Amino acid sequence: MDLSEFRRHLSTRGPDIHAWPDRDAALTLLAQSDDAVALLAAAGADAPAPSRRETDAILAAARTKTTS
Amino acid sequence: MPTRFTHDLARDLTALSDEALFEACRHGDERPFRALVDRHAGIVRRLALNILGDAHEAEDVAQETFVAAWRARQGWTPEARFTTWLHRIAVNKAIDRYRARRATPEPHEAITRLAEAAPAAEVENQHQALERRESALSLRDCLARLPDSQRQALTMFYFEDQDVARIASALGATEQAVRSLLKRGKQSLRTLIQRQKSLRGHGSFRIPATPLNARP
Repeated sequence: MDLSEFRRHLSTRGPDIHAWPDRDAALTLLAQSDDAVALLAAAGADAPAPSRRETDAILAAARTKTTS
Repeated sequence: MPTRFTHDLARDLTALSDEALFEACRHGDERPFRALVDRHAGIVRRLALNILGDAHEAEDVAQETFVAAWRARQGWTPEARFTTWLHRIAVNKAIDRYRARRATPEPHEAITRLAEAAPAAEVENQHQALERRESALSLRDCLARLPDSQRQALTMFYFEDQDVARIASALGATEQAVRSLLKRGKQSLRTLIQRQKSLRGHGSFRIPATPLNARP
């Protein structure tokens, strides 16, 4: 799969790549192309901000990993 | 690391670019990092969800991504945009998990093996063997209803005799995340089993406290 095909699928199928029939090809492209990652990220730009709990959990994990 | 900051400082931080915030993290200050997490954890989680299709796993990936970023802050050089770098970490971790999931034997196979093996126990009479087989099949049903990440971790730990470190490696997760998955999975499984037992009104099985093939 190339970037233009990825862009086309993203537009027609939506960003849930796990449900794409050719998801393995899409993941191979994503593993290699920052442009593909940027396209996927742009498609999810409306993602809700993390909750306070989620942020705290991430910071706690970072703290633990730093001190362990 | 300081964990509280004033509204003025928070306003100052929100005005800074991602790159400036991450630069400010280099001295171990948690406040700019919190601002980055607030700004980007949502999209990082969404990226992982798009690839994995599992909300719990996506949350784990988001956490692992920021932990990796925090640990890498000293050596980071702003050659690319911070988000390009951060999203790359997240996507790689999600893809690794996806591929590890594919490489892991279908949990049902392990459970079915247990179910098939149960009647072979010579010391059991036929009734006990049948009851054990039914229990194993019920356990399989309950496992199938767990989120993917919890099911994989439980199956690998209890039925494939793999330790936490190996599971973490296979799933591309931290050992702490695997322990968390095992704990949550066990709690969920216990609830499902109790629900199923109360519906059927008979049969009994329990979640082992240690792996079924626990090493000495």
